Amino acid sequence: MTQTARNSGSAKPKRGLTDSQFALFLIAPLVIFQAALTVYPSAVALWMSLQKFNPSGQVMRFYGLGNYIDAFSDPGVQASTVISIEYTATIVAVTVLLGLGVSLLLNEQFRGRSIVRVLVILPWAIPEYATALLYGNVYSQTYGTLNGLLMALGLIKEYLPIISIGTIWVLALAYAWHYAPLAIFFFLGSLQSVPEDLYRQARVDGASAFRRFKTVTLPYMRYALLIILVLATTDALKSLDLVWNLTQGGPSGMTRVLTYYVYRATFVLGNLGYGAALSFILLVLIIAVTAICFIVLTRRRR
Amino acid sequence: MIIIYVMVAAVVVWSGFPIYTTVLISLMDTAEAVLTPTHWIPQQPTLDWYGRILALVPDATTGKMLAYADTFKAGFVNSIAVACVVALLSVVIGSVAGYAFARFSFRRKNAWLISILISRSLPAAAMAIPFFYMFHQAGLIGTYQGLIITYLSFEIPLATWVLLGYFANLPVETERAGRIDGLGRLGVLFRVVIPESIGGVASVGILLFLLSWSEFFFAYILVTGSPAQTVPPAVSQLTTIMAGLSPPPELAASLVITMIPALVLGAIFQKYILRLKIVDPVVARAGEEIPFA
Repeated sequence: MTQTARNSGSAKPKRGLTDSQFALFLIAPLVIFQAALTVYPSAVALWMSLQKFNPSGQVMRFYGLGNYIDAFSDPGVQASTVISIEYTATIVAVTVLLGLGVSLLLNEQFRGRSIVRVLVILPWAIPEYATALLYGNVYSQTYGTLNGLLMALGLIKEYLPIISIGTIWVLALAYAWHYAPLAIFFFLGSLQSVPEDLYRQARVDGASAFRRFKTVTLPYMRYALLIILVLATTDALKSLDLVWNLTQGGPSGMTRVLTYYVYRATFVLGNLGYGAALSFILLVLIIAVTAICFIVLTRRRR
Repeated sequence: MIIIYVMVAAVVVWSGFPIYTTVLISLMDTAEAVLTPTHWIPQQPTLDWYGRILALVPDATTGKMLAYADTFKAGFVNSIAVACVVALLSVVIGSVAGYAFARFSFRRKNAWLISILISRSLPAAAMAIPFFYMFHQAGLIGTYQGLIITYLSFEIPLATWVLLGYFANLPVETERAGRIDGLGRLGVLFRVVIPESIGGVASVGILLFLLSWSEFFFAYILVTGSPAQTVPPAVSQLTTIMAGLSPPPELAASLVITMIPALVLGAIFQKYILRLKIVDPVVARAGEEIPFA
C-alpha cells in the first residue's frame, strides 16, 4: 500500500511546514497514543516480570530473572505448552482442510449458493466468548444437543461428558467452527482468480480432478494458504476467551492452554510478576512463529 | 449433483448447529430445555425468557422482575457507550494518521508502520497484566476510562492501518484541485478529503464498534461486577461452567439478544470484517496479491 503513496500538493514548501513536517504533525496523536498505550505498558510489564509480588498485588522485592528461571522449571508450563501445541495444531489443520473443502464446494454452481455462502461465513461474526457459550449448549452432558444428535442417530445410549472425553480437541473444534469462515472467504477469493481457460485446457488434456486441483488450482491458492496458516497459528496461540468460557482450564487442567496458564498465574493465584514473565515467554513464542512464517512467505515471493 | 447437495447440507448443519441449538433452547421453558433426548422443535415455544431478561414481564414464580435484567440492561448501555467513544476516537486519530501515511513520505515511515503492526500481535492475556497493575495503582479498575484506554490501545493502530489502505486508493485529483484553489494542506484534509471519504471512514467506525462489542477478556479483568460492566462479562456469568446454576434458556436468550447486533452488522459488512484480518505484520504485504470474494 505504501508504494501507492503520492504527494498531493506541490513539492516545493510554501509558508510554514514542509510536507514531511506536516505529515509528522498529522501522525503525532497516533505516536503519542502508541507511546502511552503500547510502549509504556510493555515497559511496565517488563519491569513487573523482574519483581517478586505478594498475592495481594504489591511488589515485595527485586527478583531479577528469577521469574523466568522459575517458568522454565515449572512442570505446569511444560504441560500447558503441550496442550497449546495440540490445540493450535488441531485448529490449523481443521481450519485449512475445512476451508479448502468448503471453498471448493461453494465454488461449484448450485441453487441457493449465495445464501449458503452468507450462512457459512456467519460464525465469524460471533465473538469468541459467545462461541464458547454456544458450544456450552452443544457439549453439555445434561442437555447438550450434540449428545441429542448422537442419540438420535443411534450412536450412543446415554448422554456423555463430551468435554471430559474430548478435552482440548473438542475445544479446538469449537474454535475452528468460529475460525474456518475466514479460510473459506480467503480461499474462495483466490479460487475465483483461477482463469476458466486453464481448467478447460486441463480437462482437454485429460487431467484427473485431483491433478487439476494440484497443478491448476493450488498455485493460485498459495498466498491465501500461507496467510491462513500464519493467522490461524498465531490466533490459536493467542486464544483465551474460548477456554475461559467453556472449561476454565478443566477438567483437572486438561484444557489449560498457555494463555489460560498466564491468566491463572496472574489473576487467580495473584502472582503478577510471574504472570508478566510468562506473558513475555508467550510473546517470544508468538513472534518466533510469526518470524518463521515471514521468512517462508518472503522466500516464496522471490 | 446429488452429492453436492448432500455435502452442502452437511456444511450448513455444521455452521448452523450451535446457533440453532441456542435459539432452540432460548424458546423453551427451563423444564423442556433440560429434557433428554433433545426436543428439536419446542413443544410450547415461548418468548418468556426474552421478556424476563428485557424486564418486560415478571418472573412467573416470584412475581418480581428478574434481578439479572438490570445487570443486562446496564451492560447494554455500557457496551454501546464504550464502543462508541472508542470507535470515534480511533477513527479520528486513525484517519488523520492514515492520511499522512498514504499521502506523504517522511523519515522512518516504515519503522512507524511496523510499530503499528507489531502492537496488533500482542495477546490480550499479556497486555492485561500491565494494564491491570497500572489501573490498580491509579484507581481505574471498574471504570469506563480504564476500559476505554485499553480498547484504544489496539483499535487506534487498527484504524490507522485500515484507513491508510482506504486513503491510498482514493484519487488525488480533487486534492490537487483543492490546493490550486488556494486551500492549505490542512484545508484540503478537512474540506476535501474527509467529506469525500465520510462513508468509508464510517464503515471502519462500525467495524471498530463491533470489535469493542465483542471484547470479553479485558472487560472481565477490568470491569466485572462494577457499574461499568459491559455485556460480554454480564452474559458470561450465566454459564453453567461457573458456580451459578442459572437456567439454560436464560443464558441462551441473552446470548441471542447479544449476537443480533454482531450478526446483522456482520452480514452487512462481511467483506470489510474479513479483510480486517490482513492487518498483521506478516500478511499485510502478501495480502495485496489476493483478490477478495
